[in-house]
Amino acid sequence: MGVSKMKLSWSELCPDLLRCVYERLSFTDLIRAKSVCSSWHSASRGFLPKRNQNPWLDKDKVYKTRDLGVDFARSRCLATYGSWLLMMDNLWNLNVLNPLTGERIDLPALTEPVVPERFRPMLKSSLACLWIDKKTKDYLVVWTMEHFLVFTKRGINTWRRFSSNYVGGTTGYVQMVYDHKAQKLYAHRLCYGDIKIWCFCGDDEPQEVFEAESACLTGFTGLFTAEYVNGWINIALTVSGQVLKVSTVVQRSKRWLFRIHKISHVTKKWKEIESLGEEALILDMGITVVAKDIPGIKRNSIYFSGVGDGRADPDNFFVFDLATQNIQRLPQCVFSPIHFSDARWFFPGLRN
Amino acid sequence: MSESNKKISLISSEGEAFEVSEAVAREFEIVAHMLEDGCSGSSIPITTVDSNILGKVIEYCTKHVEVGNVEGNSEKAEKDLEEFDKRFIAVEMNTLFSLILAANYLNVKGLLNIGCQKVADTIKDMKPEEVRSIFNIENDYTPAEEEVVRKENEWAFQP
Repeated sequence: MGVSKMKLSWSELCPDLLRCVYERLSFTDLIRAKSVCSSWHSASRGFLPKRNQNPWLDKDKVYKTRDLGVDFARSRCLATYGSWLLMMDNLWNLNVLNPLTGERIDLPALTEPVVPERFRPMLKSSLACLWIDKKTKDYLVVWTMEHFLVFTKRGINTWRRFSSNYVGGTTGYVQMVYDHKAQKLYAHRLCYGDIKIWCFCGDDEPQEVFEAESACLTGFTGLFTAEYVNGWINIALTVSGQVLKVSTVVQRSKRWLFRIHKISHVTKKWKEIESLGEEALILDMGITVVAKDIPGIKRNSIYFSGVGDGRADPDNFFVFDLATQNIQRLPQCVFSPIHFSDARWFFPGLRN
Repeated sequence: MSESNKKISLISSEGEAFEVSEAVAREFEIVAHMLEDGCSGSSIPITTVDSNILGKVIEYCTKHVEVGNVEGNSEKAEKDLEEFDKRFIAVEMNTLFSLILAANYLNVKGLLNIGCQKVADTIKDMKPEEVRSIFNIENDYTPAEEEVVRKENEWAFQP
């Protein structure tokens, strides 16, 4: 009888019952509940919120951001990394912004002669790559200009050109991914069908690295190309820093086919892999993530945006299960009625 | 309906007997299983649940059995039941805690559902500090550990 007088502590609720509660929480509330105490945290291990399978399409919450000001509305997002955005306003000022925390890092001005003024009109559609360490705020931004690449990073306060990078064409790069552990930038050139690699190991200019065996990206190796409508090749970095070649073919029946290759340690040639294991591939970002770290993400699956003809379409997100070869559309719950010119993947919980 | 005339005594942890119809007792799945297993005694001890909570669980089950037996006007009945659930579960935290434990032990699914839902609704949009104070939870993280947990997902803690 004394029990009802004593104050009971909810940290002693058994994990099974806590999970009964967790399955009724939104993704955001679940994250907060984990930090209440250690037993609430351990009960959440391996637990996936049921109600919203896709954290970045969190039905209950269009993430509340601070007032980002008129600048934000007039700006364009060039690249993302985790919850950070690389933004450029209509006066060509650049900054790196975390819309969830309001943190903002202004980037050096684009000045002659590194960035000639005549390039400015095309900058907003130029390919860029962002990396930032969410703790130290070390960052690296690489950007393609007409014939060359420029970069800036924390501490140098200026934009610099890559020294040895004349590519002899204006449509060189289609994709860049940065492996911050190895400090290597992988840039995929469509017209040459290859990958260029630069190392940012030194304090000075990035040095081009030659790993000839991974250079060649041509050919939809091993892909059945009957009924072919469109196809393209992407590169991606796995969690462990392995480069993947991802071939995609769309057939007339709107069927999508994927093949994934990695470099074999033995033959030094591309070798098909059947499974991504515990990882999921975010095709548009060119990275894989450990599925169990991000609630709602399915292992061994490819997440991508697109429509039948292969153009990226912000209103259509899909997930392709490599095991079952099934494709599913992700719910379109948070899209605003305004049609986006471009959509970006946003990973608030991405680990560095 | 004739069967429901049979009475069964449920004995609380304090030894108090609650006489209920068999239909109500069967709402406790644990009791239903006992009855099916041929444990046909007319009194069943529920040693882990005290009189206060057992009384409440019986109140919940009685209402649900009653409404379940009414035929016709099901829409209104369902609405009434929803209203009843809402009022029933609006209890202070200690009682809610005990009700959830009892519902789990006795395997009364409906009650477990509304109990857990009530907790989830309470937690919604709350800061961890508020959750701790309402649920009487001691923060057993060291400041450093808490920082790590927060940093993992700092975006979720923005106002």
